[in-house]
Amino acid sequence: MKEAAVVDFAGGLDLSSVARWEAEVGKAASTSGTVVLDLSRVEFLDSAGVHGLFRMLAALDGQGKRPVVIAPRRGRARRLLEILDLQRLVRLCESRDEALQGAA
Amino acid sequence: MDETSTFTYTMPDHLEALPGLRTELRAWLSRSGVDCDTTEDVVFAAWEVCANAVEHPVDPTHHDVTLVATVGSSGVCVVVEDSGSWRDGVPRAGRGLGLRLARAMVDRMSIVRRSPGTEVVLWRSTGGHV
Repeated sequence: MKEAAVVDFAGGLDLSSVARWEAEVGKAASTSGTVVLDLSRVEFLDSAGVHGLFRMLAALDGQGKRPVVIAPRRGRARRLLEILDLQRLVRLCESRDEALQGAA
Repeated sequence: MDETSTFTYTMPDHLEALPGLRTELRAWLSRSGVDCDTTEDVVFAAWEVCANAVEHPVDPTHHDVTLVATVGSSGVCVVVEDSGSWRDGVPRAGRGLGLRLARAMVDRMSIVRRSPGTEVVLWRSTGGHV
Protein backbone atom coordinates (compact mmCIF):
# COMPACT_ATOMS: atom_id res chain seq x y z
CA MET A 1 0.00 0.00 0.00
CA LYS A 2 1.32 3.46 -0.98
CA GLU A 3 2.05 6.06 1.69
CA ALA A 4 -0.16 8.72 0.10
CA ALA A 5 -2.49 9.03 -2.88
CA VAL A 6 -3.19 12.45 -4.40
CA VAL A 7 -6.51 13.38 -6.04
CA ASP A 8 -6.13 16.48 -8.22
CA PHE A 9 -9.48 18.31 -8.32
CA ALA A 10 -8.89 20.22 -11.56
CA GLY A 11 -11.90 22.16 -12.92
CA GLY A 12 -15.24 22.41 -11.13
CA LEU A 13 -16.26 20.79 -7.85
CA ASP A 14 -19.96 21.50 -8.05
CA LEU A 15 -23.43 20.02 -8.36
CA SER A 16 -22.59 18.56 -11.77
CA SER A 17 -19.26 16.89 -10.91
CA VAL A 18 -19.31 16.06 -7.19
CA ALA A 19 -20.35 12.40 -7.65
CA ARG A 20 -17.43 11.77 -10.01
CA TRP A 21 -14.96 13.27 -7.50
CA GLU A 22 -16.38 11.20 -4.66
CA ALA A 23 -15.72 8.06 -6.73
CA GLU A 24 -12.12 9.21 -7.40
CA VAL A 25 -11.49 9.73 -3.70
CA GLY A 26 -12.99 6.30 -2.95
CA LYS A 27 -10.53 4.73 -5.42
CA ALA A 28 -7.58 6.62 -3.90
CA ALA A 29 -8.57 5.46 -0.41
CA SER A 30 -8.38 1.82 -1.50
CA THR A 31 -4.68 2.22 -2.36
CA SER A 32 -3.28 4.39 0.45
CA GLY A 33 -3.44 5.20 4.13
CA THR A 34 -3.19 8.95 3.47
CA VAL A 35 -5.37 10.64 0.87
CA VAL A 36 -4.38 14.13 -0.30
CA LEU A 37 -7.29 16.17 -1.70
CA ASP A 38 -5.57 18.80 -3.87
CA LEU A 39 -7.97 21.73 -4.39
CA SER A 40 -5.35 24.12 -5.87
CA ARG A 41 -6.76 23.81 -9.37
CA VAL A 42 -10.46 24.02 -8.46
CA GLU A 43 -11.96 26.72 -10.68
CA PHE A 44 -15.41 26.69 -9.15
CA LEU A 45 -16.59 25.28 -5.82
CA ASP A 46 -20.24 25.53 -4.77
CA SER A 47 -22.25 24.41 -1.75
CA ALA A 48 -22.94 20.99 -3.32
CA GLY A 49 -19.17 20.60 -3.78
CA VAL A 50 -18.48 21.63 -0.18
CA HIS A 51 -21.19 19.25 1.03
CA GLY A 52 -19.55 16.46 -1.01
CA LEU A 53 -16.16 17.37 0.44
CA PHE A 54 -17.55 16.97 3.98
CA ARG A 55 -18.95 13.57 2.96
CA MET A 56 -15.57 12.52 1.52
CA LEU A 57 -13.74 13.56 4.70
CA ALA A 58 -16.24 11.67 6.86
CA ALA A 59 -15.93 8.55 4.68
CA LEU A 60 -12.11 8.65 4.85
CA ASP A 61 -12.28 9.07 8.61
CA GLY A 62 -14.68 6.13 8.85
CA GLN A 63 -12.22 3.94 6.94
CA GLY A 64 -9.36 4.90 9.23
CA LYS A 65 -7.64 6.92 6.47
CA ARG A 66 -5.84 10.20 7.02
CA PRO A 67 -7.12 13.03 4.79
CA VAL A 68 -5.02 16.10 3.97
CA VAL A 69 -6.45 19.04 2.02
CA ILE A 70 -4.37 21.38 -0.17
CA ALA A 71 -6.10 24.77 -0.50
CA PRO A 72 -3.67 27.64 -1.14
CA ARG A 73 -4.45 30.95 0.58
CA ARG A 74 -5.12 32.89 -2.63
CA GLY A 75 -7.38 30.21 -4.14
CA ARG A 76 -11.16 30.27 -4.50
CA ALA A 77 -11.59 27.05 -2.55
CA ARG A 78 -9.76 28.45 0.52
CA ARG A 79 -12.17 31.39 0.80
CA LEU A 80 -15.16 29.06 1.15
CA LEU A 81 -13.41 26.58 3.41
CA GLU A 82 -12.39 29.37 5.81
CA ILE A 83 -15.95 30.72 5.95
CA LEU A 84 -16.96 27.18 6.99
CA ASP A 85 -14.07 26.78 9.46
CA LEU A 86 -12.89 23.59 7.76
CA GLN A 87 -9.40 24.05 9.19
CA ARG A 88 -10.81 22.89 12.52
CA LEU A 89 -11.62 19.49 11.00
CA VAL A 90 -8.67 18.86 8.71
CA ARG A 91 -5.20 20.20 8.03
CA LEU A 92 -5.19 22.76 5.18
CA CYS A 93 -1.87 22.89 3.30
CA GLU A 94 -0.43 25.40 0.84
CA SER A 95 1.30 22.91 -1.46
CA ARG A 96 1.87 19.24 -2.27
CA ASP A 97 5.33 19.46 -0.70
CA GLU A 98 3.79 20.57 2.58
CA ALA A 99 1.04 17.94 2.36
CA LEU A 100 3.39 15.05 1.58
CA GLN A 101 5.95 16.14 4.17
CA GLY A 102 3.37 15.52 6.86
CA ALA A 103 2.45 12.17 5.31
CA ALA A 104 5.99 10.76 5.25
CA MET B 1 -19.22 52.45 -15.42
CA ASP B 2 -22.52 52.70 -17.30
CA GLU B 3 -25.25 53.12 -14.66
CA THR B 4 -27.96 51.71 -16.89
CA SER B 5 -26.04 48.56 -17.77
CA THR B 6 -28.30 45.50 -17.27
CA PHE B 7 -27.94 41.74 -17.80
CA THR B 8 -30.95 39.42 -18.03
CA TYR B 9 -30.95 35.62 -18.05
CA THR B 10 -33.88 33.20 -18.03
CA MET B 11 -33.23 29.62 -17.01
CA PRO B 12 -35.17 26.51 -17.80
CA ASP B 13 -36.03 24.34 -14.80
CA HIS B 14 -33.15 21.90 -14.96
CA LEU B 15 -29.71 21.93 -13.40
CA GLU B 16 -27.80 21.10 -16.59
CA ALA B 17 -28.57 24.57 -17.95
CA LEU B 18 -27.11 26.40 -14.96
CA PRO B 19 -23.35 26.39 -15.76
CA GLY B 20 -24.15 28.58 -18.80
CA LEU B 21 -25.37 31.25 -16.38
CA ARG B 22 -21.98 31.29 -14.66
CA THR B 23 -20.08 31.76 -17.90
CA GLU B 24 -22.35 34.52 -19.22
CA LEU B 25 -22.70 36.45 -15.96
CA ARG B 26 -18.94 36.32 -15.35
CA ALA B 27 -18.21 37.65 -18.87
CA TRP B 28 -20.81 40.41 -18.54
CA LEU B 29 -19.56 41.59 -15.12
CA SER B 30 -15.97 41.71 -16.44
CA ARG B 31 -17.07 43.69 -19.49
CA SER B 32 -18.94 46.08 -17.17
CA GLY B 33 -15.68 46.86 -15.37
CA VAL B 34 -16.29 44.87 -12.17
CA ASP B 35 -13.03 43.59 -10.65
CA CYS B 36 -12.16 39.91 -10.66
CA ASP B 37 -12.70 39.10 -6.94
CA THR B 38 -16.06 40.88 -6.83
CA THR B 39 -17.11 39.14 -10.05
CA GLU B 40 -16.31 35.70 -8.64
CA ASP B 41 -18.17 36.40 -5.39
CA VAL B 42 -21.27 37.70 -7.21
CA VAL B 43 -21.23 34.78 -9.68
CA PHE B 44 -21.00 32.38 -6.73
CA ALA B 45 -23.90 33.99 -4.84
CA ALA B 46 -26.08 34.17 -7.98
CA TRP B 47 -25.28 30.52 -8.80
CA GLU B 48 -26.29 29.34 -5.33
CA VAL B 49 -29.57 31.28 -5.35
CA CYS B 50 -30.46 30.04 -8.85
CA ALA B 51 -29.47 26.43 -8.10
CA ASN B 52 -31.65 26.64 -5.01
CA ALA B 53 -34.59 28.09 -6.94
CA VAL B 54 -34.31 25.45 -9.66
CA GLU B 55 -33.86 22.59 -7.19
CA HIS B 56 -36.34 23.41 -4.45
CA PRO B 57 -39.53 25.04 -5.69
CA VAL B 58 -42.75 23.98 -3.99
CA ASP B 59 -45.72 23.73 -6.36
CA PRO B 60 -44.34 26.10 -8.96
CA THR B 61 -46.98 27.41 -11.31
CA HIS B 62 -44.62 27.52 -14.24
CA HIS B 63 -41.19 27.02 -12.77
CA ASP B 64 -39.28 29.82 -14.53
CA VAL B 65 -36.23 31.41 -12.92
CA THR B 66 -35.13 34.83 -14.13
CA LEU B 67 -32.01 36.73 -13.14
CA VAL B 68 -31.48 40.45 -13.68
CA ALA B 69 -28.11 41.99 -12.84
CA THR B 70 -27.37 45.71 -12.78
CA VAL B 71 -24.04 47.46 -12.34
CA GLY B 72 -24.33 50.91 -10.79
CA SER B 73 -21.77 53.45 -9.67
CA SER B 74 -21.32 51.90 -6.21
CA GLY B 75 -22.14 48.23 -6.60
CA VAL B 76 -23.69 45.25 -8.33
CA CYS B 77 -27.34 44.29 -7.79
CA VAL B 78 -28.67 40.85 -8.74
CA VAL B 79 -32.38 40.00 -8.56
CA VAL B 80 -33.45 36.36 -8.94
CA GLU B 81 -37.16 35.71 -9.37
CA ASP B 82 -38.74 32.29 -9.46
CA SER B 83 -42.34 31.20 -9.69
CA GLY B 84 -42.30 28.66 -6.82
CA SER B 85 -42.32 29.28 -3.10
CA TRP B 86 -39.62 27.80 -0.84
CA ARG B 87 -39.91 25.16 1.83
CA ASP B 88 -39.97 26.86 5.19
CA GLY B 89 -38.41 25.08 8.12
CA VAL B 90 -37.77 21.87 6.23
CA PRO B 91 -34.07 21.10 6.52
CA ARG B 92 -32.61 19.68 3.32
CA ALA B 93 -29.02 18.65 2.76
CA GLY B 94 -26.98 21.38 1.11
CA ARG B 95 -29.70 24.01 0.81
CA GLY B 96 -29.05 25.96 4.00
CA LEU B 97 -25.34 25.78 3.32
CA GLY B 98 -25.77 27.30 -0.16
CA LEU B 99 -27.77 30.28 1.10
CA ARG B 100 -25.38 30.79 4.02
CA LEU B 101 -22.39 30.88 1.67
CA ALA B 102 -24.21 33.15 -0.81
CA ARG B 103 -24.96 35.58 2.03
CA ALA B 104 -21.30 35.60 3.03
CA MET B 105 -20.24 36.70 -0.48
CA VAL B 106 -22.41 39.83 -0.70
CA ASP B 107 -23.12 42.90 1.42
CA ARG B 108 -26.90 42.45 1.43
CA MET B 109 -29.18 39.53 0.69
CA SER B 110 -32.92 39.63 1.13
CA ILE B 111 -35.63 37.10 0.30
CA VAL B 112 -39.17 38.23 -0.41
CA ARG B 113 -41.87 35.58 -0.66
CA ARG B 114 -44.75 36.28 -3.01
CA SER B 115 -47.69 34.05 -3.80
CA PRO B 116 -46.70 32.33 -5.88
CA GLY B 117 -43.01 32.94 -6.25
CA THR B 118 -39.91 34.17 -4.49
CA GLU B 119 -37.62 37.10 -5.16
CA VAL B 120 -34.05 37.19 -3.88
CA VAL B 121 -32.07 40.43 -4.03
CA LEU B 122 -28.28 40.41 -3.72
CA TRP B 123 -26.22 43.57 -3.46
CA ARG B 124 -22.47 43.75 -3.44
CA SER B 125 -20.43 46.94 -3.17
CA THR B 126 -17.71 47.39 -5.79
CA GLY B 127 -15.66 49.37 -3.28
CA GLY B 128 -13.74 46.36 -1.91
CA HIS B 129 -14.06 43.09 0.00
CA VAL B 130 -16.99 42.30 2.28
